[in-house]
Amino acid sequence: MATIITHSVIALSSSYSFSSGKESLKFWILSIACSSLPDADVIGYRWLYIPSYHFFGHRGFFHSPVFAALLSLFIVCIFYRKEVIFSNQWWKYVLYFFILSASHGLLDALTNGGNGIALLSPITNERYFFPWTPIEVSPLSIKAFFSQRGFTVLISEMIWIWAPCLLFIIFLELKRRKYKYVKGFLL
Amino acid sequence: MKQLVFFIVITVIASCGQNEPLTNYEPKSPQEQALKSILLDFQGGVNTLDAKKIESLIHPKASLMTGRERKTLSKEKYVKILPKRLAGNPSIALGKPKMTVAGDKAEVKIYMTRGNYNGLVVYNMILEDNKWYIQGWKY
Repeated sequence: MATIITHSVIALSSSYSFSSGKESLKFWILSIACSSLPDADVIGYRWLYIPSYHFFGHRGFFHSPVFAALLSLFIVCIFYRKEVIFSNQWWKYVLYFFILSASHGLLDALTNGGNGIALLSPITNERYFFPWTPIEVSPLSIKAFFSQRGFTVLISEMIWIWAPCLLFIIFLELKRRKYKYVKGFLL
Repeated sequence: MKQLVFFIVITVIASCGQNEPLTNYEPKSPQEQALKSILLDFQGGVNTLDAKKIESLIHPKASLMTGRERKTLSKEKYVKILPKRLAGNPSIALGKPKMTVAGDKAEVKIYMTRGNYNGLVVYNMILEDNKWYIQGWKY
């Protein structure tokens, strides 16, 4: 897996691009939770004797786009009850949380170790990686994470994920400022 | 604040594992006792770099997963790389197992600690001529 910190970085940069500046704290918390939640399957692996290659194993169904769709619908139905179902804003939230949650599996498919990701689950439990896997896989153990290995993983994630996210945010910020400037000039 | 709590909870959960050693496991039947002995022999073989001992525990038609790339090898191929793998890897500690015995076959799920790695390994065992053998393992 990529680290929970990096999944949160993805969540924060996505939130920034989606947010109109009026989103509540709930929105930000849900964004982070949504992008990190698929890794809750580690509990089964570490405690419940569920092997990683099992349907519900680590990087199994919970890392699939189907689960991402279910999770996004659940989140919007529970936490955005005031939104009219099937309205434009409702769909925006569903799509946003779906992309965030699905990004978890896709990001893990770019890592260079562990099991592949069950991207087509529940149709098949076959595990997949992308042909290009530049990101160092993060160890599951916290002890290992706070070692040289964890440091290597973080550096790799900074290069391949944090930096592009930062550039994306800078690009958006410049675009917004330019828009405000042009709008101010025209008005 | 909530993000911090979430992170701490996940951290605590992830840092805990099945730390109770295999030696403490109380077998519920003679079959489980035999399986425990094999696993203890396996652990001993790995930790003393005794490739011959490990080889004797494995069934001739076994399929064994190996390496980070999780390739499955036959016993014949596995024993060829075994001495090198033993020399290159730290010692192991097996944890509390979960055993399922059905006739002459058994499945043992067990947590293995090796260096900083702690993961679940599933051993498939087979009873042949009154002796249990490792028929395969996956992780």
